[in-house]
Amino acid sequence: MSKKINGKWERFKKHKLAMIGLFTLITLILIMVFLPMIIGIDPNTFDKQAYGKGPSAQHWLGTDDLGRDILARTLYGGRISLLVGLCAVCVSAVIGVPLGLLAGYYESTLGRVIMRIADIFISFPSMVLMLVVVAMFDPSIIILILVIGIIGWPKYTRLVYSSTLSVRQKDYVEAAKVSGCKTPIILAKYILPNVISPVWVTLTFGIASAILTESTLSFLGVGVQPPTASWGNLIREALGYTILSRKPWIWMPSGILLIILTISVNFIGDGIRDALDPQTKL
Amino acid sequence: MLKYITKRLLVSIVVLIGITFLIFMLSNLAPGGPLDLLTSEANLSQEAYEELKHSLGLDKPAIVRYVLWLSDFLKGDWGTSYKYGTEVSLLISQRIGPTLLLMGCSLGVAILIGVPLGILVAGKPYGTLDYASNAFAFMGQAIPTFFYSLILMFLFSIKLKWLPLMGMHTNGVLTVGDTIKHLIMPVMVLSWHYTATFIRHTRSAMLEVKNSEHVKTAKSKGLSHSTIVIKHEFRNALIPVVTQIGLQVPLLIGGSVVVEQIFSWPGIGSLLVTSIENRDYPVIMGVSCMVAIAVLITNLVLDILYARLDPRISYK
Repeated sequence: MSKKINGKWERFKKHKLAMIGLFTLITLILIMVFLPMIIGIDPNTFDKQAYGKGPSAQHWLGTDDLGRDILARTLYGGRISLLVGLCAVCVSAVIGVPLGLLAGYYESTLGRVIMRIADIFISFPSMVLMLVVVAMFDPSIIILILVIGIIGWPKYTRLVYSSTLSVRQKDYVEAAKVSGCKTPIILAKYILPNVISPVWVTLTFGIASAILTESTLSFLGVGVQPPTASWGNLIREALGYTILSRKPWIWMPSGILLIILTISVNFIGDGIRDALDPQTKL
Repeated sequence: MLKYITKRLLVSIVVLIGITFLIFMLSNLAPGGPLDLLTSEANLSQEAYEELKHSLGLDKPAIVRYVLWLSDFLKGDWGTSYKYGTEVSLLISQRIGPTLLLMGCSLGVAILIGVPLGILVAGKPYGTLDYASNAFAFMGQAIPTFFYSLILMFLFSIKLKWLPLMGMHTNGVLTVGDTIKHLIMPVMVLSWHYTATFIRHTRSAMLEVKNSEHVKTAKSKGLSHSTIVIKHEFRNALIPVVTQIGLQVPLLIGGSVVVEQIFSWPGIGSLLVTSIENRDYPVIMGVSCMVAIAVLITNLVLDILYARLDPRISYK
């Protein structure tokens, strides 16, 4: 087993872009976690000497109109974005994977019902659904994670469903059935390990898109609420004309970091996909 | 064929009921309902509050209200906006034109640029243009719509002053040229992602057709290169491209919500965002239904289109 994982890691390491992505992501996380402590900045402290001032030695990325340090807010916002992204895909996978297993294993009635519901979810614009749902509740980080997570499940269900369909006809599954193995055990022990690897790829790409979704919702004002900083609500500041035209230091860094983060996560996803697929030449 | 369409229509109706039911129930479960919003400014007595609740029909159980809402909806009465006091159907009909204009232009631009480029790229796979279009697609996925919009506004409206910042027309000016100027940035934002999608899907569809027998036959008959590409390859590559148009419509609607809000485009999307801010439930319900109907109709139309494009498909 460990040899198998080592082989995959070797393959992943050969993927240059993926390694660059991984390195960037780790650096970003280290900066977000440690830099505020090292240089002693806080996202919610008001500096009465500096309202909406540009970058200076004291505030590297300047301050917002309330005198809060933009560097600190950007770094803390990044933590929130990553947290929401990671948790949301976990929610999606935890709902989607078992449903896909069930739908694939019991193909007839239950499977059809599950896949129909998945179709409905996919055909309806998820942005509209999310806006409506998020707005119905008072927006909080937990609600945001749940909503983004719950709306993302059908992707995983479809993926697992189609591979389960082919795996469940394999001889070893039949053998397990005949020898009196219980269904949950068959699903978990014999089918799941054989359908899970494409899920890792979708999961990785899912983190990037969940982060984008969170920032879009926060940008529209229904996501993470101030005073908690997030990249989305920092960029939202630019909806005000003066900030858009004269104070780019408030909104530009969050946008640029958002792009860097999504690109690195997507690169890592590419790398995992190629590493897991033995047919790809590296 | 007719039987197939009837079956699809019936399924669509069930789906529609499902979606509206879900949204209706959610809006009723939510804390801080419409009544709290309406009465937050006025200091109402308990009696007056109950009376208002009764007159708006909010004292009945949710399921009864849903059935009432549905029957009214089918009769064409979509309710009255809490916020504006006008009929929801009127509000929507005022806002639908700009949204269709925006979405139509974006989809049109994406098809007009994406499909020919896809054909071109397929002619020389792994060439410079192929890598460039890949990079273009990749950026389209990684750069969030709203940030890209802001950068465009910053660049073209504020720094260069070439284009108007927001809205659909300059106050009091109602010329086509003025509207086009206002359209440029929103369309640039909205069409990027779809242009990239169309390039990639046309490319792979064209590459797949290239090696098929009928193309070889056409080549050995000595037909000209352009005839082969257009008549024998592209016609077959059309089907996956049409599928993409269908799959992209929900995303296009979602994207236009964000773009309309940023550019203050007076369409359905910005109406939805403002009514969510105001918890204006009749409008939220109306818009969601509109969106659901639009998606279902597009899927139906595309299903029928497939049969026209591909004689092998028959619906029985």
